[in-house]
Amino acid sequence: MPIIDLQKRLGINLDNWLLLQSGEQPYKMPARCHAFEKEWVECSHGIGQTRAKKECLVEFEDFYECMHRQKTHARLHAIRQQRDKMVKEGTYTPPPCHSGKADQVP
Amino acid sequence: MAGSKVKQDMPPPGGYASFDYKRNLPKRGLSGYSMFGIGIGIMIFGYWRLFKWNRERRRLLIEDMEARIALMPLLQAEQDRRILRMLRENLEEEAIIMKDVPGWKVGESMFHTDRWISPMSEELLNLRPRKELLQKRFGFLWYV
Repeated sequence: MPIIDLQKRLGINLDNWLLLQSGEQPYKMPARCHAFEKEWVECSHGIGQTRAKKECLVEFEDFYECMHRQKTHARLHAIRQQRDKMVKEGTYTPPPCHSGKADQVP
Repeated sequence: MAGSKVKQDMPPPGGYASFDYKRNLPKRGLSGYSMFGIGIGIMIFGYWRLFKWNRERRRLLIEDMEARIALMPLLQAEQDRRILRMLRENLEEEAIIMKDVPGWKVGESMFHTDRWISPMSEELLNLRPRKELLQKRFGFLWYV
């Protein structure tokens, strides 16, 4: 992707180790969104940025969601709001596993 | 000054007894080289003991790690069962809660892929009291 890959030509690794989450990690610990980032990078490698924004939108959205979990949080928030509304109306009581001390048996 | 008989303070007849006034710095103790030798010898003995004990600690550490490795399938299976059970409970409760909300797909995944994505603690402990989530996130401190 870069025009002159100076670091690869000189065989040094000045900052490549901190650019990608999917790169070489110390102790081989993977990032939380390793798979999503890898897929996005593989999808958008070689084609230009304009094309990548169009063609790799799905992968990018998945990666973004994995990182920030905005949609997940909004969904959980909606569920919680609805539950509180129903509890206030009295139409719903939380089951014992969801309130207080439940038996923590796997 | 007349040499008459004046009472003066004179030394006793025969003079004073002799006493030693010369420097007395006896050669005693070990020599410098041998003191160095003893010090270095003690140090070498200390190092040897330290290295031996470090090797023993390494063996004990390897034993601990192997015990952990041996137990890992059991603990992982327990945790997986627990997570799946919590997800199942959440799914059923969600179906009950959101049945009157128009256009809601129960158990809908937020991702376009259908890989398994490890759930966050917020997802697992969503419908439980907030205290449990705070305990999960902040209850254990790595620092002292």
